[in-house]
Amino acid sequence: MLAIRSITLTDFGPFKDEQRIAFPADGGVSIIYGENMRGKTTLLNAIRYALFGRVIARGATEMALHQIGNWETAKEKGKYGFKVVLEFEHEGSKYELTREHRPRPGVTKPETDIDYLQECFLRKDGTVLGPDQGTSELARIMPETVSRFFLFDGELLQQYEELLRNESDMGRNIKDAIEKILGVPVLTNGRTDFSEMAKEAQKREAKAAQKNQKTQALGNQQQALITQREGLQSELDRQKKELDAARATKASKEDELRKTERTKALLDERVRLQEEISGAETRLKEKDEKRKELLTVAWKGLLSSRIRATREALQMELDAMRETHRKAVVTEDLSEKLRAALAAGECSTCGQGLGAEAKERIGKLVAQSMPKEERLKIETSIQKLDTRIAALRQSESGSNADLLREVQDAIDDLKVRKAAAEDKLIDIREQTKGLDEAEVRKLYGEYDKTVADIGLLQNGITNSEGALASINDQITRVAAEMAKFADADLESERARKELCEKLKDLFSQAVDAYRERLRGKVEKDATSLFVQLTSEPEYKGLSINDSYGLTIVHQDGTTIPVRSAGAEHIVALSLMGALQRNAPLRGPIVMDSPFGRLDDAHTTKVVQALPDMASQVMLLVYESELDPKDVRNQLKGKLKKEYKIGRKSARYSIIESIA
Amino acid sequence: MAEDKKTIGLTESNKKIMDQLVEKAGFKRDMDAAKFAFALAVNRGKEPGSVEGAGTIWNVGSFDEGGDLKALVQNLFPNADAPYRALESLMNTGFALLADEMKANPGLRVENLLKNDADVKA
Repeated sequence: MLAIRSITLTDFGPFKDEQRIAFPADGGVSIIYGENMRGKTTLLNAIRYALFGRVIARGATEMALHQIGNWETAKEKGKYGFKVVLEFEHEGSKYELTREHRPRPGVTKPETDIDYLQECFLRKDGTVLGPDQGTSELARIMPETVSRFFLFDGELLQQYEELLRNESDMGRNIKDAIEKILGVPVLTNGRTDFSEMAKEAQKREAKAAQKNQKTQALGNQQQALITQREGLQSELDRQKKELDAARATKASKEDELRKTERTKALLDERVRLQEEISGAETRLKEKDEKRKELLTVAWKGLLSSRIRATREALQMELDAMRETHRKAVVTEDLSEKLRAALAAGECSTCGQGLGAEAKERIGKLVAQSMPKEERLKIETSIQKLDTRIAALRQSESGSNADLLREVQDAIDDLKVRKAAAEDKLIDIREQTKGLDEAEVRKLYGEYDKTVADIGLLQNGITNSEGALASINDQITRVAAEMAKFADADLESERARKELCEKLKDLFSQAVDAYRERLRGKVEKDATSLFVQLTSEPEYKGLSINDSYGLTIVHQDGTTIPVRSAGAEHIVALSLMGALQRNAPLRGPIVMDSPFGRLDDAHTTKVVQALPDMASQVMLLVYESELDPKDVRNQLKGKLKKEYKIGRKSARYSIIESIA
Repeated sequence: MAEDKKTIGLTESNKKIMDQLVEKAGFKRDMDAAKFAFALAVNRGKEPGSVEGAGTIWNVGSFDEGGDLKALVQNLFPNADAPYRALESLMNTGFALLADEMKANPGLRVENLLKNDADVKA
């Protein structure tokens, strides 16, 4: 069993200078807390780097090693390069693995990975192993293909859902890795070996037949068929190898395409945001113009009530004046007639003569009528009032406060939307910086070609396998013909061949039986963990498929076809734990941000189950993901060590022991 | 009738207030802000008076192209025998009022002022 004892980093990512983390000898759970951007994933990568010389960025892509060195050290001291020393134990031996990248001689300021030299050596119980020995020892202790079950990023756990898709290349890769960790290749290799030995025995049988005159012709025919089969087998092997390579390419292209799809979505979003901003700018200009127009007459709105009151008062005055004027006009008309009667001494209407008394009364009435000058004065006043009222009407307008507010609200809203769009655009511009759209099109073309190649290879393999089966039938028929002749050598070679074939069949059956048993064990252990981890009481377990994909089973016996990201996470963790329990190869589990998708109830259950998942567990978490007080209470004595990654600067993190 | 002014303007301090208001509120022209200040003073019952230290900014012909303002002042203040002098006085008073408003409420919005003052008088 592999157990990590310590890791020492020198200028690795934000871990400036030399910093060391020691892990307890008796296993248990160690937790390293660190907020975002402090270097949790870098620590996981430091272990990966030490073991395999590779660093994985978010999105499962390999990262340029040139970017790993500490920036402050490079800037302050002009020192480039980085080193990781991993101390571990395995099968009773103590190991010290050192891997270092340093600039090549003559390179003062490295700019790419080529500018570095990598040095790696493995010390076993104090003795440095030779390079080849060190490499093979490492591959035995921790093969890279199974590292996904020991070193994992919580964000990538959803990949295990691919196991439910039989045709998925990612699923196929994971299935192969699972079988590898479970030790299936020991049996499949045995089957292959005996298959090859049976073929060799067949060749020997043919040669023996050629030596006997009676069977010579059959021997020759068999030899020719075997040669033909070897050619076909070689072609089939080539096709399968090419198919594997094409599938790997397809998986990698799919991975790139997924990123490209995101990039394409980003590009579309960029265009949409640019249009939104441009539209908002146009509308802002329009609204601003409208606002300016409204402000130009805002003063009238402010005075509207005052103007109206004044105008109404003037109107009343005018009305009164008009009434006076009307009366004066009427009176004046009457006075004219009375004056004429007085002058004529008789009534102008009836012609009756006027007496003295009547004349006096008429004289008084005439004297009371409005003088002409006064009437003209009123007329002038009326004219002036009309002008004033008209002028007031000119300046009078309703208050445009509501309209102005409406326009201003629209402006504010547009500004907010524009600012939000601009913020998003800045983010997207940053994300799409240096993007080569031609490269994206090329990627799509390459993917299509790979898919077409896979189709052709699959057809080729089907044809080759058909031809191979036909040849094998012919070889079997010729062998049966040869068996009719008595020959000691021939019989001896036939017996050898039959033994090899039986052993091959035995291993084939063993592979099937072992796989079946493993699937059963993995299903049982995963179910046991799942029931422990899930907070849904109606889920009674997990069901496994041929590819080790796990489906949730409800208590009513039905399976749950769609599951949430959180449920996927729990299922993946259950699979991890089950594989750890059943694998001949065991080691520590190092998990980066494993609780991000889980609610508190699930987090608590996972924390409590951690000690059962592996003898050594290292968690890289942020405090809001896992509360230190809670986890201490939940794990008690099984929590062996706590560290915190503190911040010195944006490019300098420091590892501090908490307890 | 006393001889009226051919040009009108603001005191130095009121000119600064006008500039601030034009920038903050987004008036198209400074004279729109000046007319607004005049209206505010009138609306708040201020009477025309005399202005000390007012500089020359506008020609009354361009400030009041149709003569509506002159007529309005004459209507609102029939006793004012020099309408443009009265207008100048009231717009300076208005800017002083606006300065107080802006001091009390740095995020002052014309539409709010318009609404509040119109409501008060309505």
